[in-house]
Amino acid sequence: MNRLSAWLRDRTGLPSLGETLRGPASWNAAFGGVVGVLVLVQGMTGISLAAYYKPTLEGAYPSVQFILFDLRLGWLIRSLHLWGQHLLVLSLLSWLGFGLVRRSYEKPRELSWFLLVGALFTVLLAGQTGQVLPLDEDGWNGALIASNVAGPAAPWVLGGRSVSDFTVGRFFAAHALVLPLVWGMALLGHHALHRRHPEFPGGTYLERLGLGAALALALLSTLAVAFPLGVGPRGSATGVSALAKPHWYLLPVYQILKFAQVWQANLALGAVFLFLLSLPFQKRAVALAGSVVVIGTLVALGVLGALAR
Amino acid sequence: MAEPSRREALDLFLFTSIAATGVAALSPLPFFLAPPLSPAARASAGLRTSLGSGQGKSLIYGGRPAIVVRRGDEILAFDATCTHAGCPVEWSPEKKEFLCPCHKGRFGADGAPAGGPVRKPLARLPVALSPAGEIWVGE
Repeated sequence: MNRLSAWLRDRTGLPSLGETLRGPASWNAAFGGVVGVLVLVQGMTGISLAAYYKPTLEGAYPSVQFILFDLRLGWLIRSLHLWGQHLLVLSLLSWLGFGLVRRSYEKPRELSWFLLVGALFTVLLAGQTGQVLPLDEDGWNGALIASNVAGPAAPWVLGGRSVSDFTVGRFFAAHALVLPLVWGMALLGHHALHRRHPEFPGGTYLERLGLGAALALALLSTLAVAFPLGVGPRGSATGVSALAKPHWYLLPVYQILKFAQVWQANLALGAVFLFLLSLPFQKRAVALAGSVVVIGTLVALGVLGALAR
Repeated sequence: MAEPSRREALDLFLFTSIAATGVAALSPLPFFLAPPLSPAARASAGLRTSLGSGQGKSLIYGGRPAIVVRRGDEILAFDATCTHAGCPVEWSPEKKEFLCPCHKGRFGADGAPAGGPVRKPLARLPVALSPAGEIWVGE
């Protein structure tokens, strides 16, 4: 076993699981394990779901129902995939928050920071495109809203003037092929850069990554089994949900849209991401004050959005 | 600027050629991905007599939600997509307004913004009456 591990390390430069991390001791490395294991779960459950999902206007909803009600453990696989998305967003947000506190964006780790911010952005997009796929009421609304956000490029998003087979195909291709490739590469790049500029020593990879991964898996399985996520009523071009609210992590945008236009909400969201990307170039006091203002505003808007009827 | 060396000039030439080949190889993609647009076929909204004054009827026109509303003798048809964020609106016969469930946008019976965050009116659709009294949406 040791010889095999030594051979692998020699040929690939990968770390040994028992390797001690360099730098001040921190649990930050556990985030890598949390996100890593969630990515694996999303990949495996996503590929399994793709084996049964039918990306067509008529076939999508029945195929999701088939997965949920007819396939053995289909409900569990789908519940894991949906809860995995929530936890992935949550852990990336916590990771970035932790990075804000530790100023992980400072020289020489600017690129690691950019990749993490990029991963968050693409994971959010993956959530939104994935929400469309079952074509329940939320899915229909999601497709229409996405096309509206796209403005003049709407036909390119929908693959036509309205929600059609082409729409489902486009969202499926984006959700299952394009976005996982992008955020997968962003996270791998982050990991590679972390090897070059290690930040948080103390403890071994096995301890930190392994414990993070195990905790995430335990939490994910508990949520997926205790609170299985189903599918809403079948959507149609004329169907309207009584109240259409986005996922918790987009509630700030939802709240902004109550008094602003779509381009203004896009601008606000863009400003948040630009601020995150600009952090390495800010003075410390500006970065600190800015982070407090941005996080405070987002949380306040999110709470208002959650309470809104 | 200093005169480029032979090596630099050749490298530039090589780089440009490779980049041009790459662009040429990728150029069919946008054409392939361009949305296939077909004109919307007109859709029936039922008989005029079945639509009382102040009542609305939902239908699908060109794959998009549409609503036909009767105001007195006038019949109006609208694209039922909210001009704010794109959620489908529905007609409320009690309030005589189009309501959007997403951000509480409201439109009057003529499609004009009536409240909430909406700024632009609902898009009007052409509507015609057949000799038999059937309402047709579309050209």
